[in-house]
Amino acid sequence: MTATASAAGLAALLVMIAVLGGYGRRSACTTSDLLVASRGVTPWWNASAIGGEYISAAAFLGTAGLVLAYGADMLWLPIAATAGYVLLLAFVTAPLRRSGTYTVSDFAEWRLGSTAVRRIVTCCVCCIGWFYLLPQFQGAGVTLRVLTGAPVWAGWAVVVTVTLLLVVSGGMRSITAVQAIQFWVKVAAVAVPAVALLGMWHMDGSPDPTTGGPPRFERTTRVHVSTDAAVTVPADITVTARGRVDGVHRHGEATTLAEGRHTIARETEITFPDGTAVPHTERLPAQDGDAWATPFGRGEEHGLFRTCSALLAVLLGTMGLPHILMRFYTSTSGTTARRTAALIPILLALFYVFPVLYGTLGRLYAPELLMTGDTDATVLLLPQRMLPGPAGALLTGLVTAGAFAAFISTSCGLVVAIAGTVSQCARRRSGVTAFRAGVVFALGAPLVLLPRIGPQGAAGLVTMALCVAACSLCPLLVLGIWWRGLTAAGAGAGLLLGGGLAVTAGVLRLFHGPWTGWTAAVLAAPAMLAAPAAFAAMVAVSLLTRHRVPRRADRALTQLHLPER
Amino acid sequence: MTDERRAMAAAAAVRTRAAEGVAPPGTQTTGPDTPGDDQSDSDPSHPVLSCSASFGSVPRPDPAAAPALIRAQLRTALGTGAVVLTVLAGLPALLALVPELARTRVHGVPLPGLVLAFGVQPVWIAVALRQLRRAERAEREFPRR
Repeated sequence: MTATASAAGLAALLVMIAVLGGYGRRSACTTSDLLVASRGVTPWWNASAIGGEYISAAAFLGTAGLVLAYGADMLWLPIAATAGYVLLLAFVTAPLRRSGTYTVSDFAEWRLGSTAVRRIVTCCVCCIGWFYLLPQFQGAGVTLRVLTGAPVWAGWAVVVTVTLLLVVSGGMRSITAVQAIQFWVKVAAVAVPAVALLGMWHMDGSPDPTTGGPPRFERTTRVHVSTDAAVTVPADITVTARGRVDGVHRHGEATTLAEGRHTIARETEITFPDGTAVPHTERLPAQDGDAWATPFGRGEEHGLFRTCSALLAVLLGTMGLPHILMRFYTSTSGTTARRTAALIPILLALFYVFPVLYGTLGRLYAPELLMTGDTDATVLLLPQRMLPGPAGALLTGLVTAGAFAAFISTSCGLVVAIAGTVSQCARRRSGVTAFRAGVVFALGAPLVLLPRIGPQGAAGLVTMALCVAACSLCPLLVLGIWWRGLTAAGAGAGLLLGGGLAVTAGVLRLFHGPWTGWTAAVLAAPAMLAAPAAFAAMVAVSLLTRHRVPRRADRALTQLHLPER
Repeated sequence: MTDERRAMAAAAAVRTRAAEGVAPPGTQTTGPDTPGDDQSDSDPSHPVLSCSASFGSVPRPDPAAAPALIRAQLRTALGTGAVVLTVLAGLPALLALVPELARTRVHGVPLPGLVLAFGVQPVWIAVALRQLRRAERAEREFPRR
C-alpha cells in the first residue's frame, strides 16, 4: 500500500509540475527569458523560489538522517545554513543585482575585465553544481528504493528526465513558479506528517529518546539487508535469521549475536524481538541517549575542528551558490533583491523546525535505519512505522511528493546555473542551442560519477559542494564587491588555490580512503584551511599586482553600491 | 549575445546606468579614471552620469558621495558579520569547552539541544531584518541632487 501511495504522491507532483511548466512555457523564447524570467518577480515570490531551490535532498532528507545518526552535533548545520543567508544579505545581494550581470562568471568578467578569470569561475560553477547534483540524484534513488523497492537508477532517471524536460522547455520563467510553489509543497510535506507523528508519540506515552542506553527496537521488527553489511552489536542479542550471518547459513532458527562486529550477507532477513539493542552499521557510532542529545557528547576525534570547519563551509558556501545567486537577478532592483534575501531566513527557520523532530522520533520508531545505514530515509519511513494503515500510506505519499519536489527544484536551479554559465562562455553558437547543450552537459557529468561513489549521506555531499563554493566564489564576490584593489591576477590565484584545494579534498574523500586521524578530519571539512587561504591568496596577489587594478574599479564599485534612484 | 544583454538592460526601465555596466568589459574605458584616482567618480562629465539626464526632475543619488556610502554600508555589513561569527564560533566553543553546560537539562529536556534546534534561527531572522533596515536607511539618507 505504501508503494502505491508513494507512486501516487510522485505522480501528483509530476502533474502539478507539468501544469505549471506548461503555463510558463508559452512565452519563454529568448535566452534572457530562459535565464532570468525577465526580471519581474516580487520579493515574497522570489524568496519562496529561493527557499524552494535551497531546500534540497540534504535539507529535506539529510538533516533528519544526520540527527538520527549523530544526534545534537548535527543541529549546527541548519543554523549555519540560515546564517549564510544573513551574510548573503549583508555582503552580496543588492550590489550583485546592481551589477546588472546574469551569472557569477559575467560578474567576474565585468568587474575584473578578464576572460581568463571568467573561465576559472565557470569551472568553479561546474564543480559546485556537479557536487551539489550528486546528492539530489542519490537521494531520489534511495527514496524510490526504500519506498517501492525499485532499483536505484529508477530514482535517478525520474529526476534527470523531469529536470531535462522542465529546463529545456521553459527555462527559468516556468521554474520560478514551480520553485516557489514547491517550497510550500515541501513545508506542507514535512509539517503535516510531523503534527500527526507528534500526536502518535504523545498517545504512545511520550517516550524520551534522550535518556537510557543505545536505541532498542520498540516492537518485533523484521529487517531485510539488501547489500553485504558489517554491523556493530552494542550488547548480546538473540535474533532469528534467514541467510548468511558471519559466513554461516541460517534457516530461521534463533541465533545469538555476541557484542562486537558481525557480517551479514545481502538478501538476509533478520527478525529482532522487541527490546533488543539495535546493531549499528560500522560507520555510525552507537550512542546512549545522553551522549546523543549532548553537543560534542560522543567525544569524536577532532570534534571541535570538524564542527567549526563544516560550519564555516556552510556559512560562506551559501554566499557562493551559483543557482541561488542567479535567482537575485530576477528581482527588479537592488533594493528588492535585498528585501528578498531578508525574507529567506524566515522561510528557512520555518522549514528547519521539522527535520529535527523527524530525526528525534526516528531514534524511537525507525532505529533499524542505523543498522541498514539508510538514515536519509528517516523522513520517508516514519509515517508508515508510526501510523500503519491508510493514514500512514497517505502521509507517506505526501512525504514522497515533498522529497521529489526537493530533488527536482534543486536540480533545475543547478542545471540552469551551470548551463547558463557554460553557454555564455561559448558565444559563437546561438543562445538557446548553446543553453540546451549546456543542460545536457550539466546533467551528464554527475550521472557518470554517481555509480562510482560509495554510500554517502546527502548532507555530507552537499557540505562538500558548499565547501568548494566557500573557497572559490565567496571570496571572489566579497572582495570584488567591497575592495577596489582586487585584480584579475589576484582573483584567479585565489580561485585556483581555494577551489583547487576544496575540489581535491572532495575527490580524495569520495574516491579514495578511508582516511584516519587529522587527514580524515581535514578531508571531511577542509574549509577552515582552504577558505582563509583563498582570501589570503586573493589579497596578497592583488597587492603584488597593484599596478594592474582595473581602470574602471571605482566606477564599478559606485555602480554596485549606489541605489538605483 | 551583446544585443540580448542590451535589450535586457533596456527592459529594466529603472536601470539606465546598467546599459553601460552590462556592455562587455573593455569597451568602456573612455572615462577619465585611472587606477589610483579615487575622485574620478565625482567628475560630472563622466559617461555614467550623462544617462541620468533622461530622468528629468527625479532626484538622483550623488555619485560624489559614493565612497562615504560604501564605507557606511561596509560598516553595517561587518557589524552583521561580527554578530553572526560571534554566535557561530562562540556557541560551539562554549559547549565544547564547558561540557557541564552541554549536559544541562531543564525538566529532563536537554537544554543545549533545544536551543540549537529552535532557539538560534529566530536570532538570524532578527539580525537579517536589522541589517535590511540599516542598509535601506543608509541609502535613504544618501545625498541626492
